[in-house]
Amino acid sequence: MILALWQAASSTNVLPALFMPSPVAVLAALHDLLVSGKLVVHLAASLKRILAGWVLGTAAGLAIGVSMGIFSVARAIGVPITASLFPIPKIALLPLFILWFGIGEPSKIATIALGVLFPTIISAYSAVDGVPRNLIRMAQSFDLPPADIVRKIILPGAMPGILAGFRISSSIALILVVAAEMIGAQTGIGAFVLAAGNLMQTDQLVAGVVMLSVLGLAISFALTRLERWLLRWR
Amino acid sequence: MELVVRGVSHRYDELHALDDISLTVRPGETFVIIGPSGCGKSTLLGIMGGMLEPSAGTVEVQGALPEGCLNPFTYVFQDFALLPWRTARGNVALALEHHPLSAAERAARIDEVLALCGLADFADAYPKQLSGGMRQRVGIARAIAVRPAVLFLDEPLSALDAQTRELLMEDLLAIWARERTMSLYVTHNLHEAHRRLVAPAGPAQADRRGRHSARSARPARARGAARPAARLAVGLDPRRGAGRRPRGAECLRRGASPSAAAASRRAAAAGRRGSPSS
Repeated sequence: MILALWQAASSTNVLPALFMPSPVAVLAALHDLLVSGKLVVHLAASLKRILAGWVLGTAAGLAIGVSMGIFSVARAIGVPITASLFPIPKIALLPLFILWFGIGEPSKIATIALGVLFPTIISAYSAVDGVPRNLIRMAQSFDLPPADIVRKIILPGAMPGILAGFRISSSIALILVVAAEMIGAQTGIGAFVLAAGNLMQTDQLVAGVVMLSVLGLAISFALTRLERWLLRWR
Repeated sequence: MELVVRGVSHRYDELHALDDISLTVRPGETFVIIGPSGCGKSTLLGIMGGMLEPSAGTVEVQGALPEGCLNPFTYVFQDFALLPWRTARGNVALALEHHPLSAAERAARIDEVLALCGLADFADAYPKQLSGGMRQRVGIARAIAVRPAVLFLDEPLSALDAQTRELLMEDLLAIWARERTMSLYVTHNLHEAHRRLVAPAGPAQADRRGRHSARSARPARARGAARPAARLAVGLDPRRGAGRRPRGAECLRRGASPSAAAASRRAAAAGRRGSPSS
């Protein structure tokens, strides 16, 4: 219905194409991008950055967050540091990362990794902290070694919270990759959207936004499948 | 093997939870600790099982551990404490996985205790698929899988409805009769304590057997199996703190000859008085 109204408004020139292209025009632009191979190039560049940054940030965030949940020393150090650094918009650090790592991939990946790091720390810490104490006491009563308690009780018990954190961090990764690509990249969906906007090619611009939306949906679908598999006992 | 508690006291800041408790639990015996909620029963159990450090006093294990014992002390918890991401089999396996057993030995032990607890057909069910009573049976199976020297049961039936409590108590009696594991049973329910002390072993047992055979998933006590000795500690004082010193537990003895009904009456009277019985 919305698409029909949108198309009708565009066809009757109520919505000028310069400001908002019609759905048909957007589909045509997507088709052109697919045929020309540009869509694959931009999508692959963004996906590589997201994957690298998200994996790095998530791995570090899980290690730190789980440690904070288990060890009081790590908690005492980690909580104030996380609280002070989490609110900083990570994209503001991109120029600094460009100075440190250059204009290439490392600076963008570092921005995404840092953006993913803190939500992962918080979700992992909260999830570990929320593991029922009675399960840990039970494991202790059976003399399970500490490593086994972490592996068999704490990590599975924290998994629902950790996976919820993955949803948030993957969305943040998507936002940051677009922002980072708009600042300093030749390829990637963010760079493509920015270039289309500069050239007033609104059909291309909206096609890029649609690509982002589809990418977000695909990530969400993958996480849902992962949740169903890991939490099949629920 | 005996479990000897000498002069155990425990404080939570200003609160006297326990004061000068001494008792001895003998081999094969079930020691029932009964008292109102908040009187320190679970604290005493935690101290006896080594989960809590007493403020004063000692808990000693005297004698050798039973053969095949993997964990000296195990608990059956009021809230079951089952891992929801593991099946019944997996929950029992948790207690055995870190012990040096072969896969075949481990599987045999798991099958044995699941069958003993009437869960042979539910080995692959997750806790959410089991009733409250069945969940607690998984907890019991897990606890006895390691062939403990002492089994601590911390209000194991209190989270269950009345009918399930009765049925599970019968199962516990059958398991006790077979395993003869030294047990400490904490409850605030006088009826549960009485069932442990004075459950009839005459014609009523035949009825019980009949029901067991009708419900083959549940264990039945072997014909003529004698109930192991049981004792009851009463009178842990709920009004502890504020300078009041609770008195140590004293015990009613249920031996072979004394009238079970008389023991029951004494325990009931002691429970009503809320003070140690003699």
